[in-house]
Amino acid sequence: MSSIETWSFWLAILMYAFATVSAFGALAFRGGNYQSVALGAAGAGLLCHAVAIAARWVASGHFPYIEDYENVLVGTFAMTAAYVAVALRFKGTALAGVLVLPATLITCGYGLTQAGPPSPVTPPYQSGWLVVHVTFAWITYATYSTAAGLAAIHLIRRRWERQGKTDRLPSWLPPSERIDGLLLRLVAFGFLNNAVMIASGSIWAYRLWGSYWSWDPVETWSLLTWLGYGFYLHAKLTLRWSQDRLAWLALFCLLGIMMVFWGVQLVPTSYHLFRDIGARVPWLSRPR
Amino acid sequence: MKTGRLARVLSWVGSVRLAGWLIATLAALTAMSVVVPQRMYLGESYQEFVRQAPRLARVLAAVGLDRIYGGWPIALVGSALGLNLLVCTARRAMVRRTRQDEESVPPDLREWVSEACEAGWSVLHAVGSSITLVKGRTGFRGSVLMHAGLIVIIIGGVATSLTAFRGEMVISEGQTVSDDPASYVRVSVTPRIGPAYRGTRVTLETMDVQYRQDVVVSATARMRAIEPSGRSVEKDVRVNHPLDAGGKSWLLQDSGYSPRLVVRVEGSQAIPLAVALASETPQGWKDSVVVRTSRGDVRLEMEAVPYPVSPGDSPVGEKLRVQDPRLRLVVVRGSARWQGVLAPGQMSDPVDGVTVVFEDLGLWSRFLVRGEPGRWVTYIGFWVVVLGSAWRFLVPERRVVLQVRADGSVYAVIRVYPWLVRWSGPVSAVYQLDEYATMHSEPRKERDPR
Repeated sequence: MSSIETWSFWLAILMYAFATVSAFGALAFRGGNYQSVALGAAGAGLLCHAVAIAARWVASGHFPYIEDYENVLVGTFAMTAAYVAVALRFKGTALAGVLVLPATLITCGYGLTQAGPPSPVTPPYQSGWLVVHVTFAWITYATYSTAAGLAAIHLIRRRWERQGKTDRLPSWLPPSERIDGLLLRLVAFGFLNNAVMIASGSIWAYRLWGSYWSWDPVETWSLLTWLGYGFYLHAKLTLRWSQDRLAWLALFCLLGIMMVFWGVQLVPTSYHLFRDIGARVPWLSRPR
Repeated sequence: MKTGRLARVLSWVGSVRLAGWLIATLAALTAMSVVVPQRMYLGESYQEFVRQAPRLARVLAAVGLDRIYGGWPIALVGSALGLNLLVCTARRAMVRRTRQDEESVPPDLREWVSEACEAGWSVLHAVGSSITLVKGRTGFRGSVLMHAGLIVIIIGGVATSLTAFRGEMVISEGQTVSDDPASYVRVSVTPRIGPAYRGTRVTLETMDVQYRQDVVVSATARMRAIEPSGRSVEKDVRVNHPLDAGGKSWLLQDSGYSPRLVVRVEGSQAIPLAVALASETPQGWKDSVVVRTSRGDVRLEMEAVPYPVSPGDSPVGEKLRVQDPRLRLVVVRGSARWQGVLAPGQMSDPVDGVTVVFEDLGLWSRFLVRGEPGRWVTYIGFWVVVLGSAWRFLVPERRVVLQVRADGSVYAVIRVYPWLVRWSGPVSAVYQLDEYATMHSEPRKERDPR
């Protein structure tokens, strides 16, 4: 890591930490100003984060999309960007940061443990389909995590309502129906991106491993998560589940996404353990 | 009666609730795989688990939980989901969408309906003094298309399982092989339908490997294939860019050294060889082979390096860039033995009348050979799913119930699917229906009604 990259990434993490504290402040003290501070800090963090990505790009000579660290670098940027975009567009939703921002911080922390010097793009990564696959994976991840953040807001609101403190509900907190509608659109958007991610990934997999579907743990979790969000849409539109149940489902499905992206580390051997691909000669295409 | 029972059974088999339970079962199975040791993915660690808990390992193996990914539990749940999907999609596709003509519209609303129909609305129901108008009904077809795409994917999966071929070939530079059983190092899957081998002739002309910072950044195999039909295919094959010929794909996997030798038996034989050395060493590759000659068996022990380097030297970084190769050779026949290091063009001393000429050092490459004609069906299914999802979400279906009140005003209830947006209130003009039924938009200022 170059010094610019290190400093800017750490500064971004610092900003995200500050934004997290502010989001928790909004939750604890129900003050609208805390939300604005959280949003501002997250926005400032995004700028620093963009500098870190640019520095990595310059140092490695390619857009950072290989290995765990680079995936974290860009993936967390996408997560925060989606959160900031939604919070700016829909008033009162910055409270979603109570879930999205800590998740971003933990993911950044994991990425830092995997950080290494920039390396050239090895043959397995030299594929246009991979670029499509990874891009849609980031969008999917960012969308679903923001959706889970909104689900958290809904559950927080419901909890406050159940405690009989309806009169003390912050005026900036969006009504449940609004959150619910936004959640539905985000899940639908994520679902569509998730479909493109799986489709492009399968084409890449055939050209790399000779099989478009291997029932690899990551593939299986990915399919399961997609089905899970598909069920969310059906539960909402067909079964007309209550908003509370749907919010819990959105949070539960996020666990699947976390497994797809990071849980693979629990499996000692998987085609998707990208850290090994191309690292050794002569195994050009397959991890050991 | 029987028809009613069948309808109920089909309704249950194709229900979203059943799908929910099946997805939950799938989730439970995959979650279990995190804690239950998986045979396919743990390797030696799994054997250690078997040694430590043999009874538990036997029980897990008996119920198939040691092989959850791709095993029968997931296959069973997946098949049930497929059936659920099939029935659900068939039921959706068969739903009759009735539309009433404008004659059944209440007289008070005829002028409204006429104007609405010009704006793209159509009449769905007309009951008493109220009518239901609809717009964007094709969005429903997107949902059907998405589910149909999933069925196409399943069909592709079944087609793949029936027609797939999987094998491995090792080809040396300059070598031509034919797509027949003798050319394969290993064949693990043969098709149950259609021929396994088609006789396509494949030549690996040259292999070029480029490095940056001691990391392979490019490995290109210049290949040529001639199909039985006579069609010729030439391609620079790389990882991610396989050679597609004769219904199969040759996927570049890895490479090593292949010395070209000639074993000369004094006055009688000259045996040309290209030996794909199997074992990697810090300096290059090595192997041992036995050559049958007219003077009996000769054992050759070889270790090839890309340039003059001794076994004790530090590891070679760019192994696959052969510059000034050397071959450490041991020739053994009976009790006679010769040992030395050869440069290209040099030969060993005679060993009981046998000499070995080291002509040059090339590369071998291992190819995964796959034939999966069913994959195209699956790919189509994938993109139909994407198209169907996009269609469903981008073309919302809008429904408006209009009712004439006692005072003559018109009251509207608007619903937008799939977003479940709902609005109700008095309307004074048709253009307002579109405005209120558009997501996000707030109604504009009132215009003059009609």
